[in-house]
Amino acid sequence: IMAATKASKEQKYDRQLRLWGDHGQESLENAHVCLINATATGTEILKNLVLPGIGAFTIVDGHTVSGEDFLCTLQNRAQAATELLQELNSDVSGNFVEESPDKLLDNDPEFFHRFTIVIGVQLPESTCLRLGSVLWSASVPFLVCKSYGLIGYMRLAVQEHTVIESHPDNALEDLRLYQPFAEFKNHIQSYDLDSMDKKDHSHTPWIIIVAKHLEKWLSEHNCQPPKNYKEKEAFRQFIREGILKNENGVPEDEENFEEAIKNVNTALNPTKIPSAVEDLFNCEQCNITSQSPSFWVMLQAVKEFALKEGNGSLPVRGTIPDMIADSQKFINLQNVYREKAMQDAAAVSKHVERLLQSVGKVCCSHCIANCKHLCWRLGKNAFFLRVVRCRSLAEEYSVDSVNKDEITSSMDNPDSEMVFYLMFRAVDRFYQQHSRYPGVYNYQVEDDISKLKLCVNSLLQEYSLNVNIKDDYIHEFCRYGAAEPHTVAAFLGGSAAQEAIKIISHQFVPFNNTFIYNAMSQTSATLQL
Amino acid sequence: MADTDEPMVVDGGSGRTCEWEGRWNHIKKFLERSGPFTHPDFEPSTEGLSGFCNIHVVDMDTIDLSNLNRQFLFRPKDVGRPKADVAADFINSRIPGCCVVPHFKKIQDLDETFYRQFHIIVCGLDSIVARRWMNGMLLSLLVYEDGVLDPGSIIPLIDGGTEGFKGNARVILPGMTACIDCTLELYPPQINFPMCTIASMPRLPEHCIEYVRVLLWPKETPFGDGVILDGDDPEHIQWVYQRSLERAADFHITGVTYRLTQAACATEVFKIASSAYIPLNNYMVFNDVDGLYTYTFEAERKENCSACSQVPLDLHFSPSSKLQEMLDYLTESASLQMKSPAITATVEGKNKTLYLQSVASIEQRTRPNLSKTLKELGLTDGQELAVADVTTPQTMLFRLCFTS
Repeated sequence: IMAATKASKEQKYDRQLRLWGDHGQESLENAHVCLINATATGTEILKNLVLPGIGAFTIVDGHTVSGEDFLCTLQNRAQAATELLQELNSDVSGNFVEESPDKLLDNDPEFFHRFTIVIGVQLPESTCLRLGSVLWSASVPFLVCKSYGLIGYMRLAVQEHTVIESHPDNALEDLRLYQPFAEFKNHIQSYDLDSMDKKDHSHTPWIIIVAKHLEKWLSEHNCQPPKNYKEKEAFRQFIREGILKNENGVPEDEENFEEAIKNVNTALNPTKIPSAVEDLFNCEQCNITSQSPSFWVMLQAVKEFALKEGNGSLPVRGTIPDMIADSQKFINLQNVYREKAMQDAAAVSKHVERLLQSVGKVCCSHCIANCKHLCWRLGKNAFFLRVVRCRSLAEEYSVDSVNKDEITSSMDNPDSEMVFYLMFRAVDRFYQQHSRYPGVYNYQVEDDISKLKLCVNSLLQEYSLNVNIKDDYIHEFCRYGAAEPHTVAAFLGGSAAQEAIKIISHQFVPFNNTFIYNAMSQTSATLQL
Repeated sequence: MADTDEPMVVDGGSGRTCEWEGRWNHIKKFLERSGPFTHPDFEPSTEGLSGFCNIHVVDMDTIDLSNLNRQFLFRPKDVGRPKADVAADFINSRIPGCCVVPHFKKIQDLDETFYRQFHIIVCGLDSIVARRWMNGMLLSLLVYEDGVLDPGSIIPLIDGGTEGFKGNARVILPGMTACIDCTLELYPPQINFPMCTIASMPRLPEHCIEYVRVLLWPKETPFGDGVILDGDDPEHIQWVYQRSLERAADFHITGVTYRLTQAACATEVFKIASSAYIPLNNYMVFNDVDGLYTYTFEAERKENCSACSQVPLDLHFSPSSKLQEMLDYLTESASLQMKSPAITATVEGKNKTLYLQSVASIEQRTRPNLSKTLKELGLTDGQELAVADVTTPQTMLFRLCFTS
């Protein structure tokens, strides 16, 4: 039964396993997500987490189902939502707590410590800040979401989120042509382009071609590789001269040489450690203690590798792009890179073991095997390691640390998405003062405009924000009447669920730290507040 | 069926049994209240819009287990049933007042009388060919009076697609805004491995799988004559997988997995990416690999769009060009990208099929024409050629212009 279940899960989750792999799926299945408030937005987010198979969810909601939510039952909203969501995926465990988050914060704030991530939807400001503080201290990631009229809002609050597998869209290849390692140098010795027959000559990988010509160039140019445009152009011409000619002196059609020429630009870049990774090397978290998270132990190990076996470089990635070549030449070349990568990963792994030992953690054989595997993955991603640090909600809201620059510079364009952020803050004030949102009932719309405007002004004054908010936006937010249309809820549901998956799996890079979606113009912006 | 004059959906509360207090509260705030950003012609109304929710769903597929991780209208018990039927059943029983009519068919199996009845069409198709067909269908419904487009004949098309962490959505008003064919060049060309790599020089696991898919399968017909490889059939995939492993072993290539095999055999392989940037409004791209990124711009109509420009397209060839060259142009040109065009012309007063691929007997009969010159085929300067293809429901007319 276990095998059958595993096979059917492989099939069911096939389309997503292609994106985050079995290990990513495992982290999802070990996750316990908390959703606060099963509104349209909340349930859309949770649906998009239940379908791909998170381990468990718990809905916290003190509200009963109203006609606005759906079919009138006198059922608690948390319970109703749990039942419907549970139906979507029998692999997931669903729970609910019929309680307002404020009550839980009063009586049992540690309730929230058990979760992998907490997602708070349509929360009033006071609840949000209280919860934010508890979760920040407990290092539980907090994702705040709101659909309000035609505007969507997300805020991520996580102290430090580490990513090894960021899956960058357009990464340059790691070919080490500039400073070739010994095994590569040996490999290209086995090629003598001048003595090859036509078939072999035309099916030699372009990497070999560039390497061979670079060797010659270096010997004739005082060990200086081509650097500027003129030199690279001359180098390209040099390669072009290497193309075989027929008996009439006409160059043959050698696609592999054309590939070599085309790739000169990027292939000759020296393999530097990216500045983002250098910054990570300089973080104080690299001083390893017994409390250090594994990411930092691995990062320190990579740093030590770079200083020692790497001769100033990161571990070799080990992959090469496809290129015109016969199978054998390609595979042989690929294996040279692959084996070097494995060697480098093993060296990193040794550093990890040593570091763990130095802080009193003994490694059993299982750990060591696991470590080797993790370092193999680490080596493939060494150039793309990322750490995301969000400011806390407390920092965002405090007059002393508010990000004035970000706000005022964005508002140079008074129609930028920043205006919606400010309107959300003003609306939250309105709620604090009047215990309701503006314009919920038709008769309120007119009068609430001036009340909301007072909130806007007091907000700008309190934070000394010298910006202008057009009356149109104040009017619009009264018009919204705190409506939560499903179209906006659905968009936010998809976006927020994906960010939650990034947090849970530690793959791909989450946003930092505020995302605004404008459904009127179908535009969005990410702000760092 | 909703009245043609009125936009769809939403009842302001008429006390019917499918209504309850507060059901439309969220939506009413947008329909009943004007605001500073609403369109100047928008008139808020408390009467609401009468009529009920009427949706037709067209889908030729049945439900597969691998659909259940995202297609939330389906459950494990529904595997094997037509998607259209199950979706309709689910919504009709869950949402009171909603009437969804299913059509377990290809979109091409339905005609103008069917499509003409709708106020809006939403597409989540899995190929560009299908999108172009739908695009062409809606364009064919446009009514022009004295050269002026009757706006009542416009049926808006909402189209979207995703691949991994990327997606796009667009609004098309046929006859007014950019159509699918106007922006055809935004779609990067399909990745096709060169045949010599597949046949004799594989390097990647993908090459091995392609070899089995494209060369071995038609040769060995493992599941019977004429049985096409079905990317959703685990037995088919298993066969391809085993043979791909063998192929890979011959060349010492590692990395062939069942998962990779399945991905390579799936039909949903068109990447949708946009690299044309012009200022705003009807085309939105989305990418959340790193943070969340959206970009919205106005896809502009292409002046000489082969689908929506109404200007007959000229084909420029020398009279000594072979018909094969014309065929190559129709399939390879970035703006046309036809799949297997059938070309007919009126020669000496008679309709003559110059070349047609889709019917074996006609293909055989007309194949010799491909190596004949246009002059030999009796074609004259300025004459009309009619071309039919899967990418469009209507025959396209071209004008042949001889170059010297």
